[in-house]
Amino acid sequence: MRSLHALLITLAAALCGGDALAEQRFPPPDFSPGYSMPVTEAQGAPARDDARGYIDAAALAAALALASYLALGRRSRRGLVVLGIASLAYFGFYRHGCICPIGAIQNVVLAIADSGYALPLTAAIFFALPLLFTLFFGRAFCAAVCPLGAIQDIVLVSPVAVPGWLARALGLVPFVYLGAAVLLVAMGSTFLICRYDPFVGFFRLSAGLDLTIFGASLLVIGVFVGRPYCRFLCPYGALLGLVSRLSWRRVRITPAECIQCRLCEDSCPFGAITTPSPETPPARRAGKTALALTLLALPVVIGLGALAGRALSPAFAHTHATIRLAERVWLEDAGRVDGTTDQSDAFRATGLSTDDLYLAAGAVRAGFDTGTTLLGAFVGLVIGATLLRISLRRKRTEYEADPALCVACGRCYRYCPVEIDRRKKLEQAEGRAEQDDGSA
Amino acid sequence: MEAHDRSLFAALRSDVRAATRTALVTGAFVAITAAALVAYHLKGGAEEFIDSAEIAAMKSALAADPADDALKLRIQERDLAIREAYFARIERLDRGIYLLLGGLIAFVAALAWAASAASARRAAPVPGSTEPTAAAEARATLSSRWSIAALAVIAAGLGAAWTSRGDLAFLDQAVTAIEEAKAPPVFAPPDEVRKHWPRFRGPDGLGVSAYLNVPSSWNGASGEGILWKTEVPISADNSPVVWGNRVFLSGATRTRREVYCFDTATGALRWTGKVERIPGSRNGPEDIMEDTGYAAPTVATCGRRVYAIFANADLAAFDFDGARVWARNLGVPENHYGYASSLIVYRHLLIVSYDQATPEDNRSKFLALDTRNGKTVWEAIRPVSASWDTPIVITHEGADQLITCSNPLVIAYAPETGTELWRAECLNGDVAPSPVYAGGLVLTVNTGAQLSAIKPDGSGDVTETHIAWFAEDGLPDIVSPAATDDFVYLLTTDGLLTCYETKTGTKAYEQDIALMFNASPSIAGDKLYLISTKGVAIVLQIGPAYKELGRAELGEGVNASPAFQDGRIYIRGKKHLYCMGTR
Amino acid sequence: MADHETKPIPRRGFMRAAARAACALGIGGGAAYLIAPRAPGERVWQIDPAKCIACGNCATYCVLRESAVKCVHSFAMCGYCELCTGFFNPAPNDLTTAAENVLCPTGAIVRRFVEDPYFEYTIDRDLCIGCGKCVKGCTMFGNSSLYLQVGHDRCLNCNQCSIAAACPAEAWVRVPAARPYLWKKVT
Repeated sequence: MRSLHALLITLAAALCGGDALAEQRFPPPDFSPGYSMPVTEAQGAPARDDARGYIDAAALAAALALASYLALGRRSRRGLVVLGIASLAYFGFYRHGCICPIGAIQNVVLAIADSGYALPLTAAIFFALPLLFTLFFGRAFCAAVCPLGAIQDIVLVSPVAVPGWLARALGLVPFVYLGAAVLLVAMGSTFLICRYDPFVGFFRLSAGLDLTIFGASLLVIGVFVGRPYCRFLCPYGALLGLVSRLSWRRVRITPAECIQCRLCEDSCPFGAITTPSPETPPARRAGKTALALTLLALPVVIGLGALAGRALSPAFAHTHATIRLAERVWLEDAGRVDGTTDQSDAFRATGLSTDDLYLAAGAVRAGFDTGTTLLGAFVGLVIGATLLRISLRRKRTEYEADPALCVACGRCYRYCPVEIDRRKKLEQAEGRAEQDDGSA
Repeated sequence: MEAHDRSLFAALRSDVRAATRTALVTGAFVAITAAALVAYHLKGGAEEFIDSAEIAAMKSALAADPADDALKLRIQERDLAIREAYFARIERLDRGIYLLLGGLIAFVAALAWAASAASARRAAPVPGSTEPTAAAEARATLSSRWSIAALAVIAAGLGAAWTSRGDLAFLDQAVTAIEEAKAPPVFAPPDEVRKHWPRFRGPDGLGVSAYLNVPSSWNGASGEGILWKTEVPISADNSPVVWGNRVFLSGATRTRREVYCFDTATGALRWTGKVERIPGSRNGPEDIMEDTGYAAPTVATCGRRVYAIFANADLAAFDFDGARVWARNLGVPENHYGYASSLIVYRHLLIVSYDQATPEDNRSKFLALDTRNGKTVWEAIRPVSASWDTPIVITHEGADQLITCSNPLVIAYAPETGTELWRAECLNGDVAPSPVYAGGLVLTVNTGAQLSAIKPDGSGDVTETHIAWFAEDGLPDIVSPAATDDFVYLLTTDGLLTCYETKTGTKAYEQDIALMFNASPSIAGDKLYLISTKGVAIVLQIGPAYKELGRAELGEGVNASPAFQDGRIYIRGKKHLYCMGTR
Repeated sequence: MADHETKPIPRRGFMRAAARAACALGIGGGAAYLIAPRAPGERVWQIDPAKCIACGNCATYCVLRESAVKCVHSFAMCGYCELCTGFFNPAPNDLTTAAENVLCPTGAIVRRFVEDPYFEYTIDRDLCIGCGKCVKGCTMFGNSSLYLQVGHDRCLNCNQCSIAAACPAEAWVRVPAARPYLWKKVT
C-alpha cells in the first residue's frame, strides 16, 4: 500500500506539473533481453474485406439483367416477386441495405463537391447501373432489385387507389427530397437519405425508435397504398422516373394490340395506367390559354421558390456541425446558456480561436445562402414543369403504363385478356413440348 | 386422392373467414411482440453496462473505507450481475426481433391470402361505366393544379415553422464583431467623453464636474431637490457612472453579479445585466472584507458599452441595451481586503488594474483589453503589491500618461502600449486613494507615506529628481484627494480636511469636520462637495480658508462618490440611487 | 411485340433515341470521371487519435450492436506501469484485477507481468466494446498509448456514420482505404 501511495503522488505530480496533452509522462522501460514487444499493427489492424463490394456490384448487375428479362421478356409477375424476395434477402437483410443506389446519389455529389473524397467504384456502379438499365429497359430496378421497393411490394395486399390529384402533388416530394439531400451533402452537413432511410433499421435488425416507427408506419400504410416510399419520397425513384421517359423498351400492359377492353384500368396499385384520350375533342382554346399562362407563370414560380429557399437558409444551415458548434460556443461565451457540451469542450481543447470558428461558420452560411436559393429555384422549376406537363395534352390511343410512374411490377399483365391468351398458348406449346419429350 | 387434396386446398384458398382469422391472430401476435419489444427497448440497460452509477457509488464508498472486504465482494457480485443482465437482455432482444420478423411474414402472408380469397369471390372486373370524357379530363387537370398549389402552400408553412426554430443572428453579431475588431478602432473623442461621467470620479478621474449648474441643496426627508430615487437591487459601494440618458451601477453578492442601467429621466431600471456563466469563473472569494464587498469597483463606459469587474475577477461588457458583448474571468487576484480598483476606458482600451500579493511575487500587472472583444492588447508586469486605487490618464505636453499607484511605486505608462515612462518610489503600505493631476503636477498620497507632487516630465526613476514637494499632514487612507490648480484637499476617513497650495505644498488650513467619510470629494466650479458616511453633504467654498456654503441631508448612508451631470448630481446611497436636481 | 417496336416513329423516336444516348453517355462518363483517381483512392472512416476525447459515444452510437470501434495499444509508447491508469481506477483499492479496481467494463485488457516493475497490457478485441474508459485514463495520467481505432473487419463504412455524426470532437475522418489506420507513434 505504501508503494501505491508513492505512485499516486508521482502521478499527481506528473499531472499537475505537465502539460495535459503531453505524452510520454513515463519513460519507456529498459527491458532485459528476453522480452519481445508485441506489434500494435499485428494485434489491432484487421483488414477490410474489399471483395464484398465487387460481389455486390456483380449481384446488382445480375439482378438488374434478370429483372429486366422477367419484366419485359418473360412478362412474369411471379418471377419478379421471387427475385424481389431474393433481393430483399441479399441486399436488404444480408448486406444490411448498404450500399444502395438511393444512397449512392450522395457519394456522387460528395465526390463532385469535395475534392478530397474519391468515389468508390462500387458506389459508382450502384449509382450508374440502375440508371443505365432504366434508360434501356424501364424501372426494372424498382420492380425486383431494390430491397426497399421489394419490402413494400410484399406488404401491399389490399391496394387502395390514391386520387390522381393527390398522387400528382405528392409525386413532387421526391424531387424536393432529392434537392435537399444533394444540398446537405454538398455542404458537408449530413447524408440525409441514409439518415432517414426508413427500412435500413429493419435490415440491420436494430434501429432507433423514431426510425422504427417511421419505417413501420410506412409498411402499415404500404398495406393499402402501393409503395409509399418509392412514389412519394424516394429521390432515386425521381431520377429513374425522369430517365425512364427516354427508355428504349418498357412495360406494355398488353403483349400485342390493345383491344380497349378496360379490364386493366384499375389493376395498377401505383396509378401508373393512363387511359386513352377521350373521343370528344377538347376545348382547344381553353387548353392553349392555360398552357400560355403556365409558361408565363414558370419564371414567377421559380423566383418565388428561390426566395423561399433563401429564407430557409438559416434553418438548413443549422444542420451543419460547424454552425451548431459556433452557435453553442457563442451562446456559452455570451452567457446565454448554462455549462458546456462535449462539443464546445472539445473545441476549446483544440486551442483554435473562436474568431476562426465564426469565420468558418460564416463561410458555411454563405454557402447555404447560395445553395438554398438554388434549391428553392429547383423546386420552383419542378413545380412549374409539372404544371406544364399537366397542361400539355397528348393523344393516347390505348391503355398504357406511364413510364415515369410504372415500376414494372407486372401486376397488370394478368388482367389483360390478350396476355392471358398468349400465356395459354405458351403453356399449351410447352405442354406439347413436354409430351413430345415424354413420348420420345 | 390427388384431386381431393387439390379441391381441399382450393377450398381453403378461397376461405375468406379462415384467411381473415389467420390474419387477425398473426396480426395480434405481431402487435404484442412489437409492443413488448418496444417496452423492453425503452427500459434501457446498455448504459448501466458501460456506466453503472451503482458501481461508481460503491467504488467511491470503498475509497472512503479501503478495508471493507464485504463491499469489495458486493462490487464484484454486482459487476457480474450487470454483465449477465446485459447479455441476457441482448439475447432476449434478439429472440424478440426474430419472433417479430417471423410473425410479420406470417401476417403478410395471411393478409395476402385473405385478399386473394376475397378477390376470388368477387366477380371479374367489369369495365367502368364512365367513358373518359374531355370534361372529366379537364376536371382532373384542374384538381391536380389545385393540389400542387395546396402542397406548395403547406410546404411553405412547414418551412416557415422550421425557420422560426433558429436564426443566425448570432453569426451576424460574431462576424460583425470580428470585422469591427479588424477595422481601426472607433471611440468617442475626449471632448465628447468630457460631457459625460464615464468612470469613477468623472471623465478624467479627478472628481471635477464639467458643469457648474449643479444643485447644492436637497433634503432626503422631504424629497426637496430630489428628482427621483430608485432602489438598487443589490447594494454595493461602487459609484454611479453616467452617459447620456443612462446611469450605470453594479451590485454583487458572493454568488450573484449584476450590472444595472437606470433611466436618467425617470430613474426606472432599464435593464439588469447578469454576469454569469463565464468560463473559469468561480463564486467568492470567501475571505473578503465586508467593507469592500463583492462589487467595490465602479463600472466604466466608452459610450457604446459598459464594463464591469467584480471581486471574483469576472469582467463583462454589455451594450447599452443590456446584451452581453463579451466576458472573461481574469482569475481571482490575491488581495487581502478584496478587489476594489475601478475600470477605466482609454480610447478603445479597457484598462484593468490587476495588482495583487506582494512586490516580490511579481504577480501584479496592468492589463489593457480591447473594448470590442475583451482580448488583451498589452500587459505590464509590476513590482508592486495589491492596491485599491483607480488609475488616471493625464495629458502632459501633448502626450498621454497612465498614472498608477501601488506600494511602493507610482508608475506612469504610455497608455497605448503599456511602456513604462517613469516611476517614483513615494508610497508605502496599502494604497487606496487614487492619484489626481492639477497644476501640471501628479499628486499621490497614502497614509503610510506622504502627499507627493510629481512633475510628470521625467523618465526612469524620478524619485530623487522630479518630486516638486511633499507633505505629511492629514494623509488619507481611503478617500482620494481633490485638487484645482491652486489648492489640494485631503480628507481622512475620520473627517480631517487639510488644504495645501498646489504650486508649493504650503499648508493653507486644516479643519476637523466631525463626520466620517468614505466618498471622495468632488469639485464643481469653485465649490467642493464632501459627502459623509451618514449622507450629510457639505458644500465648501474653494479657497485659502475653510468656508462652508451649506449642508444637505440625504437621510441615507453613502460610501460611493457622486456623479455630476448637466444640472444634476447622482448619489448612490446604501440602498437607493438618488438624482439631485430640479428638472 | 417486335413489329410494334420496329414501327417507324420518325421524329419523336429519333429525338428520344438521341436523348437516351446522351443520357447514357452522361451517366457512364460522369461515373467514370468521378472514379478516375483524382484523389488518393477510396476512403474509409477512421478516428484521429489526436482529436479523440474518448467521450464514449463510439460504444453506443454505432449501427452495429457491438461497435466497430475498438481500443488499440501502441506498445512502443507504453510505460508498462505497474499502476496503469488505463487499467485501474484513479485510486485503486489494490493492484489486482478484481472488479472494484479496474476500469474496463468488459475486462478486455489483459495485464501480464513482464519483469519487475513492468506489466504488459494487451487488448482482447473480442471483449472490447470501444467505450474508451481506458483511453481516457491513459490520456489523462499516462503516456496516451491506448487509443480508439475503427476495426475495418467490422466497420460497414456507412455513408452517414452514426458515430461520426455524434462525435463531439470532429475526430472522425475519412482516410485512404489503402492505409486505413492512424497509428500513434512515439514522439
